[in-house]
Amino acid sequence: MSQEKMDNALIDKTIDMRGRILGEAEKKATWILTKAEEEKKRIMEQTHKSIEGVIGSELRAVHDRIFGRAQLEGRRQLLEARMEVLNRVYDEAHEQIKAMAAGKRRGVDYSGSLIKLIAEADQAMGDDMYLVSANAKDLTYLKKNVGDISEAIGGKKITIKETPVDIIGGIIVSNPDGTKSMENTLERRLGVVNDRLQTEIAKKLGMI
Amino acid sequence: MGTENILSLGGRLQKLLEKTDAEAQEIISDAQAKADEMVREAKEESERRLVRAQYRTGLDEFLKDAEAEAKKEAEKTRKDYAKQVEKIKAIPEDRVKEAAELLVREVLPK
Repeated sequence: MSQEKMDNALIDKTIDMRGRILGEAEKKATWILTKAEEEKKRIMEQTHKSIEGVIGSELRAVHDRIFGRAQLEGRRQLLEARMEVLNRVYDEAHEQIKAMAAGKRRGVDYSGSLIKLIAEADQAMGDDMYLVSANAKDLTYLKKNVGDISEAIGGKKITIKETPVDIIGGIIVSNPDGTKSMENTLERRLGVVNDRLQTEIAKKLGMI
Repeated sequence: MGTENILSLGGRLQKLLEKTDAEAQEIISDAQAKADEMVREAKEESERRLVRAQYRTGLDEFLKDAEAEAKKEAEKTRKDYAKQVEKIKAIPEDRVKEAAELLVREVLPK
């Protein structure tokens, strides 16, 4: 190897070594600073905890005031949104029972259900004679089938009132002296079912 | 002459390496000094804050921090609730009808 080549090789090797030494030093410096940052963070967190211990009640009060208000407001909005959807469900059901009472729903024996509603009222009231009110359309059906209705409740006497009442469907039953009555209307039943199934519906719709 | 050259070059390079070692040491020492200072300052600040808290001086300073932290949490909570509300409001009509059907089925006696 010529003298010049030997010189160049030696210079290259030395420069390479210098680069490595400085690179290692930079790496170590970065590690030292990273560790210091971590230590600083740990100290500050520890301090924060200690301060919390000292003035905890004041800090909690501030926290509760700001965070609590946001949480309360969020819950209120969530509740409102749920109620809005549940009201949509109720309104839709209301429309559907109207259609059902008007005989516009296939596969539903609404007229047959009227007799069952009277039988239910009989079971609840336990009288021997009843007066039955309904809307105009249902009154016509009930008048025509008063014999079947009486038979369905063990031959008890049934009087169908002449004056229609303003209800979607179903019946209102009372005893002759008016001391007992039962409103077994579709809207009343829908209200009861709606109250009972709110949680189930909310779950079904993924709201809770 | 050639041997002299090598020795002289070798010496110079040796010096360069010694200088490099010194530079490297300086880089590490500087970082260590900076790190020590950082930790010392943090400890001092920590001590200062703790003493102030114990004597209830500058309470506003701590409450301001707590307030900022609570505001951050509150914002996150608001966003979480808003997301839930948005999801609920987006429930499609066909699912509402399905749920309504459940009510209607229960209205008529079995």
